[in-house]
Amino acid sequence: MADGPVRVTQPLLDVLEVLLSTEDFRQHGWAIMKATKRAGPTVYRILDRLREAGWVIAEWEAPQPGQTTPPRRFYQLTPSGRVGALALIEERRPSRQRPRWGLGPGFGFGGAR
Amino acid sequence: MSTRTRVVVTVAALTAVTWWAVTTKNVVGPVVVGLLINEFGELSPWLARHLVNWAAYRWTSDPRDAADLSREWQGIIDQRPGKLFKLFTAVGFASSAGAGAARPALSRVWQSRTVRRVALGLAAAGALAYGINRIPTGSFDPISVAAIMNVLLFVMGGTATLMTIIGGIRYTTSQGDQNVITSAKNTILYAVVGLVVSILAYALVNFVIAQFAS
Repeated sequence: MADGPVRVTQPLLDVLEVLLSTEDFRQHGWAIMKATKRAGPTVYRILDRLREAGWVIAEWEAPQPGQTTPPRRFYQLTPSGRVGALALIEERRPSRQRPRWGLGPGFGFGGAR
Repeated sequence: MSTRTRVVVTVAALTAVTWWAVTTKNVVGPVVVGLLINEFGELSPWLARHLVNWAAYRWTSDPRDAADLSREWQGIIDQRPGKLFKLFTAVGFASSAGAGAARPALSRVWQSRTVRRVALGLAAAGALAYGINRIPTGSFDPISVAAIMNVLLFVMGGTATLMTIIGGIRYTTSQGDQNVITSAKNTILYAVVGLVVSILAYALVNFVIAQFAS
């Protein structure tokens, strides 16, 4: 597994912030596009890089009975991806007010919950 | 007849009919335009689905990944409100995938020093020819400083414009690569600086010549 995404860009940090801000560190592509206000191709290039780096895995949602909308593919941070993403955000965007991402004591911003 | 030929023939026929409907002066024209707009509205979601499928298979060389992406993007297209919005989203994916697929080939071509030299040479020659052509007939004097400056200004202007365009293309196709972005910004900056310097030099020389002439 690689050490992480080689090129760190603002869209990449945006995507990582969105994934970190969710409860289970997973989100589907459309929601990431909406949250980051980035174009689809930009978001998917970043998700490709994160997957290649082993920071993110992609999986289809299980079909629900009576579901009318098409199935969505979710992108979830791996454990190493969470640690790497947190370190990267802390390093590159230290001054931003951000939610306290729950990884237990010792992780996240702003101390304990 | 292959699918590609059919699409080309259909688009050509629709363009011809649209052109006729827009330019015709009888009452049939507006009716046909209305029908075409309605038909295009119905056609655009279908077109959007095909476009994202095409884009997915150019996005990645892995067929399984491409099939997943195609399915996922079609879901995104379905969630987009409005028929034209779906099409715009699909065009965004298709243009990015197409640019990504074409980028290595274009990059290889541009990395060839010969190609770069030929392109810059052609641009300089074109600007030179244009500059000479702009000089009023009978006023061109080979030893006239003003005439030479006039030609040089067009050469500089043409080259600066070309470099700005190249910088712009590199910036838009950088896909977030900071090195490419920095390089593209420098290209644009230096092109603009070169242009400003050449204009200032032109103004200065003209000012000096005017002083001597008076």
